[in-house]
Amino acid sequence: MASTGVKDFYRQKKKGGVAKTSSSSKKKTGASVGASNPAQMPALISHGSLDLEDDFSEQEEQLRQFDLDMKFGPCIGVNRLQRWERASAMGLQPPPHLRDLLTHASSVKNRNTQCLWEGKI
Amino acid sequence: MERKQADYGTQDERYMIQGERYQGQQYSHIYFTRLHHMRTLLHALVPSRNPNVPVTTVLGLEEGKDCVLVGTLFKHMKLKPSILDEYSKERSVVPLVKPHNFMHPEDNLILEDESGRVALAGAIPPAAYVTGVVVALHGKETSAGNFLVEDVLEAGLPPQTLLPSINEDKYVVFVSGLSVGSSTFNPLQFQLLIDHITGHLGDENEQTVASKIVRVVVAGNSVHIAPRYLNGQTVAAKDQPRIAEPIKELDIMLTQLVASLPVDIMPGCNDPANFSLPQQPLHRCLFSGASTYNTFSSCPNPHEFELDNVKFLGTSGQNIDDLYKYSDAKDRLEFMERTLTWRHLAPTAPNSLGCYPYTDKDPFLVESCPHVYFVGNQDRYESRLLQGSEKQQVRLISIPRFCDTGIAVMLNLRNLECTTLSFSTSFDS
Repeated sequence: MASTGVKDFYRQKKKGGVAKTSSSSKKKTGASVGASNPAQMPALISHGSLDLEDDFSEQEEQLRQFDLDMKFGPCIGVNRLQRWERASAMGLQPPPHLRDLLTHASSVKNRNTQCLWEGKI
Repeated sequence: MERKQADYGTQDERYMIQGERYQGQQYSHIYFTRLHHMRTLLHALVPSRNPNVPVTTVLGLEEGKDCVLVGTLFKHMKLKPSILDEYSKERSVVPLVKPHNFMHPEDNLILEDESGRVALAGAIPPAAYVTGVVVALHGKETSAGNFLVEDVLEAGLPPQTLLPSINEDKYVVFVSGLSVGSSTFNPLQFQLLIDHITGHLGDENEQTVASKIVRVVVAGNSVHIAPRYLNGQTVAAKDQPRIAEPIKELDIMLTQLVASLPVDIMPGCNDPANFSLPQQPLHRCLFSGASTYNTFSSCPNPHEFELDNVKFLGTSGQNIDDLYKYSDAKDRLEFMERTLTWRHLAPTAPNSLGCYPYTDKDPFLVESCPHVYFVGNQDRYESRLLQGSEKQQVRLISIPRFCDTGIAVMLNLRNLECTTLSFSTSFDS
């Protein structure tokens, strides 16, 4: 267990420049400020996954904006697809392309299905 | 003599927790769905009550501007017990023995929606409201930063289907608080009730009346298990059968009833069911005798059903008892009336009443007005015919505890008239 943890932490090749500038060029919202910190000690992560920059894509940004939109209700405690379905059933008209994102992405990456606070609160 | 029958249908699906999956969510979701649902309703009603007044959110309030706000009420109560009182450094005014009613003259109301909260003042008496009620308020923001209320717009009674015309007398008997197994339980009194309903008592006139009883509804607290067995300590092997005795005795008595007519049994706060609302139906294995009959129906609390198209809605009393703790009214029926006007059976859930943390619905919202609204385990029998603003008519029934009063309630489906069946085993009362 320890060796794989160390391997993930000390990346073999630098991701550096490209990812960093793309995240900082976006408008600074509350979500992205916390997320763009690359130096995270494994000891400080309780049971969430490592928050690496390369997972912070344009799609994730859109999903995070969806999470934080008060119109659709609280985001903690339900997964994103459930929240989308609930918003849709209430007639709040959540953006339809997000639903496609969620149903497609859930098979690719596990993390997109949960809201941005999942495992951190 | 043939017993009369009535067509029965339940609408209890909304109270069943079977399909729900708990993912660690908290109560914010149930408050959100409640606010959303009620707000949509109130927004539709505001134009007829307060035309030309803009509707705004808390964050959009402007000082001095007349507007309508819709949000959830929160009542800040000084005497409300808080878990943090145990940890407070100074000994506060809160007494160790809990008062039955937590009201205080300094209680104040706050209105909350997704954007923020605002303190309320003016024509909204805190004593009449509780946390969790969604209302529309007409008023304006003052320079002091609170919202001065001119008028309160409650949702009012929901729409009601027309009462069907039934041309013969058919009766429904309500009983609650049987408390089999408690020291106040009188088996003879309960037996008298059963014998009367099944037609084994009285002459032909009495039997004719009894033959018109189509259903019995037992509204909670049917058993009472001595608290010393339920305090978390291991029960000695010789005492273990004692826990099951009240339930077995209830089963024997119920079997006599179900052999004769359909019975609905609801759980109450003392029954072996889950604590939080909606209480799930008592398990069939508890009633090894009665559950073999198809006339036996174990129902959740709250319970919603229809008999010959007459709509019934009722609880075992927890919702009204909780309102009594946190607000004031002239009688229990007034609390019941308020829950219908607010269109919510248990507004204090989940604040002070245990409740399941639903994520996408609030099952206690009353969407269609019942014809009969009953509440069990109350101190006294009370009944009133409530008239709504759109010709709704609701028979409100407060069912007293049978073990204390020996009173069961009989309702006539034809005209919604209510009478009592009183049983006594002593000659001097």
